[in-house]
Amino acid sequence: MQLRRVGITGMGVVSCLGVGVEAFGEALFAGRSGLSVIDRFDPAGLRNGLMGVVRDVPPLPDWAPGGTSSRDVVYAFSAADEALRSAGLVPPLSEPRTGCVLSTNFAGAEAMTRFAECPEDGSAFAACRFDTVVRGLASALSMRGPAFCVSVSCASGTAAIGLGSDLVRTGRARRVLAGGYDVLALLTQAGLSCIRTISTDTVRPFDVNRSQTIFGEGAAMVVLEDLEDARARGAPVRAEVLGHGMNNNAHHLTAPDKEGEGIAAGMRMAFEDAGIDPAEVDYVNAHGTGTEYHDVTEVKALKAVLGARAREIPVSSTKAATAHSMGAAGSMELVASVLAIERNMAPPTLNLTDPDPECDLDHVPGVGKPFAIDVVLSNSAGIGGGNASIVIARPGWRDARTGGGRA
Amino acid sequence: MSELWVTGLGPVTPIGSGLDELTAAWAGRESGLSVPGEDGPLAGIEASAVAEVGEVPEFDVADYLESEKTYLDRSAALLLAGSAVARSHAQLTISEGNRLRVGVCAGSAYGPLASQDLFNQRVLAKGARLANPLIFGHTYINTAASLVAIEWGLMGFNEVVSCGLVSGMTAIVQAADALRLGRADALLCGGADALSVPLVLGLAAEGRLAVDGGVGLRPAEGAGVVVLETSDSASARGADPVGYLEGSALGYGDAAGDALCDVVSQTLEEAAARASDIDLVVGCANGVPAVDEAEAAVVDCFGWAARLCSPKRLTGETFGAADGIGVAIALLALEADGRAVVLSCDWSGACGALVVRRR
Repeated sequence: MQLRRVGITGMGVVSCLGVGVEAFGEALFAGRSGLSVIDRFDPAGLRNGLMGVVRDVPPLPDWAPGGTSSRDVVYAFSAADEALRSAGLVPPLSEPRTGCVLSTNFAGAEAMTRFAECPEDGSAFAACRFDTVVRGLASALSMRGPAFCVSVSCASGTAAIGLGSDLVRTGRARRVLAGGYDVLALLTQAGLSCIRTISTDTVRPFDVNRSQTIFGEGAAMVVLEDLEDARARGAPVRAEVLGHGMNNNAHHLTAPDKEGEGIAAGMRMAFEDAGIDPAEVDYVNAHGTGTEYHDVTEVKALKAVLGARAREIPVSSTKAATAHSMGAAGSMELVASVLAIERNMAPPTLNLTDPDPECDLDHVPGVGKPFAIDVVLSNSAGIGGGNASIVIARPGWRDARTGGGRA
Repeated sequence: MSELWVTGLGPVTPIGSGLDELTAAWAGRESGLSVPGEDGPLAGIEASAVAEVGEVPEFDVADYLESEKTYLDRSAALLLAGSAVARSHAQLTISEGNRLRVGVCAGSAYGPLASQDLFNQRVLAKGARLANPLIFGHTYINTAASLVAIEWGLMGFNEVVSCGLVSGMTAIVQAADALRLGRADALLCGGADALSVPLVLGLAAEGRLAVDGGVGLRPAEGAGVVVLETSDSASARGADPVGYLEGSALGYGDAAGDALCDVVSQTLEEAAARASDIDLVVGCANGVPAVDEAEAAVVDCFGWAARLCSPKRLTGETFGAADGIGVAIALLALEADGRAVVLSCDWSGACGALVVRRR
């Protein structure tokens, strides 16, 4: 099979840090946190009211269908619109092989609440389906290629972009809108709270005082294109997707695999798929949830996969800034990774003041770190034991490498 | 380039579970549709809510697994059962040597809707503080595929997709691509969905259900799991193919008939087959006008009227299970070396198709 190369030509973000990639990047690299106490619903009974709440709800793009839209639709459509505009694309996207791969952990969480309260509400039921937003986007943009939802818990956002890039690599699509979204809602937060994944404090990745995570909401989308097509139309290629890996710990539904064998295997799959040596990575955007077991496990796995390189490069978590945005998290972190390449700077890990001795890599506490970054590994993992890792590079890096030197 | 072999089939359906039962039921064109059973997943539902459904009769996941389970959503139980049947049929054993190369690619339209509703109703009634942590872990749509991975130690590729009635097809096509890209040697792919009271009430509220024997959906449940494997991997372990996956495609379009015709053309092209090479068409018609019209458009476009079969008339709409069941019916019904197209279409406009050839 002749595989195509995949470029990222557009990006869009709706987050608690800000709406739009520029606002998101400015806040992220300045070390600001977007966490605040939710006021959209009563958090009584939850472990914490602190969440990553989107405060500046963007308007729906003009190509979106009219009528009242739920937050998941607004977030996803807005991020998609920014991604398309920044890629220089104007709807409709009715070329035969344009597709869409979206991810979510909880699909229509607000619609699910409405349906739970009123089973006679047919529109609420329709909006509960996991593919509701992807088919809405595909329809609004007149897409004709593959359009589906992927959901592998908190690894979803990375998986969506990896699988979207596969559609381009294999030629099933020439161009794919890919990314994730999720919305804060009482029912889902009640679940995450009752299994004690939510901190009663705040999110402190890699810190000895970490006490679980804080969830948030938003959307992040990228436009993935056949690199040749993108170059031919003069599109701004912001990064190249080199490869990705997805797997399962096959260990336990909710308990972590403390040895990190599964997450390490997922990273190795990504590097093998990318066709590069793990020692070539310059920055790791870690899953780094701040949960008791995951951070140590991920660090252990990074050391196993990267070897000595693990101690030479920055390994940060952006979740203390963005909160854990569930189905959007991996996609948001991929956008952060592209910005890290463009700025030659590793974004900081906030709230890391007392490092866990077992998390002894350069976790970039507090302040972003200037660093020559050509290649990034971004990790995600989730309930159910799913892992997803993706490797991206500066545009032209692979060509220069093939030619014998680094870009 | 390694071929893609189907080495195992795992149908769990309203007309029969396992290959022998399904073969017999299909040969006799036995219907699995009936009024909701008093002990089944729709127990207690008002008789006026739905006329006919396709329940998997006397389903008990314990009949399929060696391990004991405390709580399972019925959709996860069905996927586990279908996976057990398919894995056994493929004689696929998992060892230290292959566990990173074997995985799961599953689709579901509605996932664990019953567990989600159970969890949600408790939170709404008693508040967030008294939410049930046991149930919550089973409300994720990827839980079923994770349980399959855990059950047999499958540490390889693991993906869960949702695309309405095309969920199973999407999973199979994704699995095919994952194998071609070298992400795995063998994948349990296809999907499952379960009947539940919230599903039926929701579909009724949407106006999708058939009333008085007229047009509309007969909701059903099941699992349709296929072991898809590279020929290199299967040959190396001495496995024989049941059939071959020769082509597949996915698409989308508001005019579902046009989109499905495009997708079938792509599928035939990938399979290097002509319309006249197709011996059997496994249709997707389910009583929903948009879906039935899309199938009719394809049959008309490719001249396949005489080769069309309609499994959903017997099984009802099994959602994420339908396409894996379709592959099973195709490979059980075909003569040696015969080819079938399996069609898949959702009322939203998502669609897919694949070509299989029997060994």
